[in-house]
Formats: sequence, C-alpha cells, structure tokens
Amino acid sequence: MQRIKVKYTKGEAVKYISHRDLMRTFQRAIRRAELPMAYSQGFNPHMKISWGQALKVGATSSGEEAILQIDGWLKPAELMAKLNEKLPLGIEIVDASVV
Amino acid sequence: MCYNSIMNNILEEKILPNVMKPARYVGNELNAVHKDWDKTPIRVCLTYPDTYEIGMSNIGIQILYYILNQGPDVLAERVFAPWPDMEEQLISNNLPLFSLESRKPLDQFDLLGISLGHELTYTNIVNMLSLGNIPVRAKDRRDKDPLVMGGGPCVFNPTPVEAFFDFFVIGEAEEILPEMVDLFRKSKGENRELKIGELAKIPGIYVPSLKNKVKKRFIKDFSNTPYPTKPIIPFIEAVHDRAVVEVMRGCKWGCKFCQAGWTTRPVRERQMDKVIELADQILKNTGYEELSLVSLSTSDYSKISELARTLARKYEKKRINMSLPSMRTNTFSVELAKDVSRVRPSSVTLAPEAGTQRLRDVIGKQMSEEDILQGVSAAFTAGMSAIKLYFMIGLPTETDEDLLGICQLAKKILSIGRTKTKRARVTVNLATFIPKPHTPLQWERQITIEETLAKQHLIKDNLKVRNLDVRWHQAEASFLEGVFARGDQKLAAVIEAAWQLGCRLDAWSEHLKFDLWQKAFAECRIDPHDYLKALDPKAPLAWDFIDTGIPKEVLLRAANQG
Repeated sequence: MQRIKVKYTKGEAVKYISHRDLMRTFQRAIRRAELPMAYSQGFNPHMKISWGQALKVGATSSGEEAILQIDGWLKPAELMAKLNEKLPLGIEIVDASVV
Repeated sequence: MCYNSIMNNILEEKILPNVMKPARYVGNELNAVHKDWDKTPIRVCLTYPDTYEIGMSNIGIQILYYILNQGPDVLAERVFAPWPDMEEQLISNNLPLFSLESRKPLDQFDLLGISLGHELTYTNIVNMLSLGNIPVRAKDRRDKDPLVMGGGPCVFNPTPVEAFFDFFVIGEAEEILPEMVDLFRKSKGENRELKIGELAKIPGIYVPSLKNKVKKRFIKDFSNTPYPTKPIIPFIEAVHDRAVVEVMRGCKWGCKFCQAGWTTRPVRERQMDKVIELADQILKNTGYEELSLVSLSTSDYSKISELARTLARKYEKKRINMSLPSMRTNTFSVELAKDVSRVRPSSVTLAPEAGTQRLRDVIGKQMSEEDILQGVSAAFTAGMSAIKLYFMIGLPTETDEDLLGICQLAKKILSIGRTKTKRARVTVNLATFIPKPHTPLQWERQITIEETLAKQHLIKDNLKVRNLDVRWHQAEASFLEGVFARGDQKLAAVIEAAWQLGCRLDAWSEHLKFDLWQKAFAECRIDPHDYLKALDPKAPLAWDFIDTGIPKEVLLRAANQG
C-alpha cells in the first residue's frame, strides 16, 4: 500500500467542469491507464482517492491536489506518465510524490 | 481578428460564465474528434434536438459521428439545443448557434443531420435552424446553406416537419451513409437542386420537394456494421453514462402498439464474439465502470446467458458492473441479473401495459398474469425491493374494469413483496396510449386530455396505498405527441407558430406551454382533435408513401387478431 500525492492543473478546456464531474473524469482516466488502485471494502467498492478542496466552476488552477492510494507499489514518475497519457486536454499532472 | 476569435472572446468573457451548466456548450470531451476545418472538404453537423445530456445519451448520434469521422475527407461535429438562458445570451450578443468541436455556426456546414427521436422536439428543430442562421423552411434555403437531413424513429411519418427538411433517411442510416457521403464528395460546389435530385435517387432517401415513394433501408449484416469503439465520454453526467453495446436490432414480439417493434424489423443479432470484442475495446477506450447490453428486448438474444456470464467473469476483476436493461422479468432474467451484476440492481421493471388479460390480448402483449407474478416473486426473492410497472391508459376497448385491473395487479404485487421484505415498494407508471404510424393500432382513436385526466384519477383514487406510488405522463404532452405522430403537412405552420410564440423544449414538463400551443393551433385554424380521431382503414394515410417492408394488409390483419 502506498499513497501518492498528485498536483494537477485544471485548464481552460475543462474549467466549466464541476468538481464531481472532474472526479469522475479522473477516475475513468485511472481506469484507462490501468493503475493498480486500492479500493474501499464493501458491496460497492470505490477507488481510494482523497480530493482537495473543490475549485469553483469557471476557475482554472495550476496546482490542485489529490492523494491516490495504490495497491502495491508504483514509481510516482511512472504514475504521472501513465495518467497524463490518458487524461483529457486541460487536466495534467505536474507533480507526483509519495506521502 | 477573425470571426471565430471574436466569437470565442464573447463566449468566454460574457456568455459561458453567465449560463447554467456551461459545460453543455464547451465540448472537449475525451474521444471527441477535432479535425482541421480548412483541410476537410465535407463538413457535417449532427444533432439530437434536445439538451446536451439528453442528446449525448442517444446511441444513434454516437454511431453516425463515429462512422462519418472515419472518412479522412469528412468531419462530423455536434450541436445540441440550448437551454433558454443560453438562447437569450446568443441572441443578445448577436451570436449564431455553433458546433461544439470547431465552434462554427450551423450555416457553415454542408450538411446538418437531425435525429427525430421524439415528436416533442419539433420546436427545438425550428429554433436551432433559426439560431444557426439557416432559413427555417427548406424552400427558402439558398445554395450556400447546408442541406438539412432528418433521420430516426419519427421519420416513419415525417410529414408534420417535412417543410423544414431537404431530405430524410428512412430506416437505418448506417446503410445509406456511404452512398450519401460519396454523393457529397462528387457534388461539392454543385447547386442545391441538383444535389437534392441526386439524393432522391438513393434508395431509402425521401425528398419532400419531389414527393418520391421510399422503401426503408436496413442493415443486412448487423454483426459487421461499424459500431463506435471510441464513444465520446461526456464530462457532465448524461442520462445514460455507461459503455453500451447494441446486441440486437428489431423485436420478435409484435405488440400491436409498438412503433419500434414494427419499424425496426427484421430481428438481427450481433454475433457473440463481436459483442465481446466491442465491449473490450469500448471499456479500454473509455474507462467506464458500467457495461450495458442494449436492444429492444435483450432477453431474446439467443445466447444472452452465455454472453452476460462471459462478460461478467471477464470484467469482475476490473470492477465493471453489468446491466441488462430491456429484459422481460422472469425467473431466468432475475437469476441472470443477480449473477452478472456486481452491484445488485435494487429495482426491476415490468411492462404489462394493460391491467387485465383481456386487454393485454387485445393489444397483443404476450404476458400472462402468471408470468408477471412469477417474475416479481423471483425479483423479491432475489433481494430486489422495488418493482416498477408500466401501463398504458386509453387503449382500444378499454373499460373502467381494465383500469381497476391495474390497481388490483399493483396491489397483488405489493402484497407478494411484503411477504418477502418490509421495504417492498411498487411504482405504477401510466402513459397515455398514442396510436403510431405503421403499427396495427394506427387507425385507432386517441383519448382526449379530459378522458386522460379522468382515467388517471380513477387509478390514483384506487391506489392510495402506502409504498405504492403512481406516476403519470402529462396529459397535454401526450396530446401533442399524438397530434404530431399522425399529423400531416399542415402542422408545419403550427410548429412554426408555436415556436414564434415561445414554445421550446416541450418534452420538459417545466417548459411545456400548452396555452401557447392552443393559440398556435387557433392561429392556423387547425383543430388538433381532428388528428386524434379513429381513421378509416380504407382511406389513404399521410404516411402511405413510406414502405417499411410490412404491407398495410398485414397490419390490418394483426389489428383484427386477439
């Protein structure tokens, strides 16, 4: 088990996406990247991600944060590369580190 | 500064920050296709004329978008109906309605393809043409204007809207697209009349100005027809936000009221290995957490159990949930749903359509009370607590006894549920029967608004039971749907008048302004009730020029059975 903190941008192309929509978009990118995520227990398991504070709809940011819990071990740089390949235009991981 | 960048500035600075759900108008979704406008000679804009969330749930749009964009010399973009706040902003800022991908005004495309999925989107069509700077009436369009094409379920009687269209594709567009695109390739720069004349020569295309007879086209090799493996994933949640594989076209049951059942024949299945291959690619390209196998009646897919179980096994580790909508509820389907769904469905849906066996026989709904009770029993036993029931009111030969039969059936189902779970809940949904073209019931009368309300009341008054909810369709909406379903060319004037009076988004109950519709009918001196009357089986019908492959005599014979 490992926790990786990612810093990501929310650019012009996606600034009108709500926080909830952004979370869903992020999770689908993670699925496409086939990252070994940790899931919650229970009947309807969810990816373990801690999200930073929601950004206002319409605002852009160069440094939003989220912490991804990985099942196993992954180099932060590898996670960043794999995820950036799958994220839509406007969302980009700019930093990743183990916390 | 070019026009596009001025438009972008106004949009970004003044409009988008001030409208609800601006993401509806921005695009940039994953798998959206952005091509070089200047280097792509054939430009198509597709729309389902309702809001983004409704339109993006339509598989038809995704299929055509995918197929068209495969052509290197073709670009296909999308546009949807603006919410009233956006419309107001466009008008006050003097901006035209534009496509999501290139933000080009609609009048700059070669072709505007409009999906006619529901009669209550007709005012949106007129509104979108007008906002897109395209003359609303086909006869007023000039060479530089796009050709406006209609397709989808409502084209089996296109007459009420044909004044707004240059041509219609009758049947399955996938079958016609290659020939149509080829024609656009060859006729680029030619005048409008010539193009339209050439289009009319393609089987399956109806050109209102030429009044040609037309025979429905359909795909023969359904397994190998192109299907979008990279569907667009909306950022904002669409009504259906999941991976979808269409496993079958057509329906074998022949319920007499069902237009889809009669117009999508013959029944064709997609081979199992093809379905699996598509599911694989779609899930890989989208990251969706839910996979849905769709068709008009998925339980009739010959290997449904094997297919669903294979897929469920395959995707269990990836935590993908399977859903099987449009299944006939019985012990088999309940067991299957339980086995393949990671997230157990909490509710199950049944459509008995009528409250008594007699009336179910009249309308050709092959479902006995025993089938129904066994199905719900199995569902409750499997741990599902909510049952949704769909009925129609105003069916031919219906009496109060049939309506009270709905109440009795619903109560019986609830009492079965109560023996299994305290949380048992039954919802009764009441739709008004609308006689649709090309069905055996196309000659029947439709009940009036007053009759609809009376029948709804009778049922509501007899279903005042805890944990039993009744929902119903707005009587005025069904009235309009019925008028336009069996309407004729005279109604274009009414649609235009209603639009001018301010009717928009009529499928949304909060937007439907029935008083304005009444005013529009009065202005045009048309009594809408005329369109709800019973029709003479010997008299010609407004949609006789469309051949669905099922002769009128067959429909008439079916009507008289049962």
